[in-house]
Amino acid sequence: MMPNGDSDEAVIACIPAGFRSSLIGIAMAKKWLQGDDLSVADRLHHLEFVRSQAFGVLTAEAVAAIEPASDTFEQIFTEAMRVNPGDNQCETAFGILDRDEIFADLVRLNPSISGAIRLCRGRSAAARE
Amino acid sequence: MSDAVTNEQVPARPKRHRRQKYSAEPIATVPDEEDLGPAMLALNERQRLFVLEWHASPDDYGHAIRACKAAGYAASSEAALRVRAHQLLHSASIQRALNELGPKVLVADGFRSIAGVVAIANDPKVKPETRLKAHAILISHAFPLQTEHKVVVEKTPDMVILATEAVLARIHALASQVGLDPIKQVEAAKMIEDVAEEVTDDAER
Repeated sequence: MMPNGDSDEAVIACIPAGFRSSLIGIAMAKKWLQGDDLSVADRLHHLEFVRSQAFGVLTAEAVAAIEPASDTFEQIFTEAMRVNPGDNQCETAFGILDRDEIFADLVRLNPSISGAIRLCRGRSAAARE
Repeated sequence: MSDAVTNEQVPARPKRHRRQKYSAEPIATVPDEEDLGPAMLALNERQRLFVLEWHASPDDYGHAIRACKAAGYAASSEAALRVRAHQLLHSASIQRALNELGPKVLVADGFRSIAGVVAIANDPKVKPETRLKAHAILISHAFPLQTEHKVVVEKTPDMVILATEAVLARIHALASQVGLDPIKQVEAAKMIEDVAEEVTDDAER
């Protein structure tokens, strides 16, 4: 059965899978930026990171539309990061988080990601053409 | 021509008989049971003797067989005894015992070596250079060099970003761009570090 055009699955399919880690990273960085205990250097670093994620089909408007991750979202992210604490920690974690079913769960936990992807739809279609 | 060579009777080489260099009489000192470790205690008396004799034997040709004989093992021939020695040396329990005994022997030999160096250092017949070397060894053992390392990790200026007005303005601009509340971000940055004031040369004076 084809996914409904407005369902989360259909929306997720609108953006190349390579952008999933960016979308997760933005939500997590915004979560950390909500804390008061960040040093000025770390705060600047996270802000620069979030801004740098606007490239290709992922517009600055879409980046700005992503809300900070919730506690549950962060818990899932942390668990994935714990799977392989070695050199390939991020590679392993995002390999898990980018999977269809897990990414769909993360989008359900943070619906602003789905909204952000909707904002990129026009660009994605143009890129495909 | 070649036939002549092949047909020639090659005289058989006389069988080599190596001289038995060392007596098979036991030479090892058998320690009391309470001085033995668990690996040695796990062996039977003959195996224990074999290990001790193996350690005590001069490291030369045939010393495994010598240790075998000294421990009381008997065989129908020298070859059979050699096989027995091989089996003993490769058995796991004997190897554990050899490992257990090794460090003790090393420590004991170490003391003997020190006595040897002392003798060289004090022997007027020995060349002065050699005696000097022996003295140097003794001094280095009597007063070993002690070093102390102190590691201090400091944050260098490029690792610390002060909350100057320019930095706060940058945070404000970035937060606005990425959809975060710029005022909250600036306040949080101010809270963690006091706002630094630019120091000019005039102010220093």
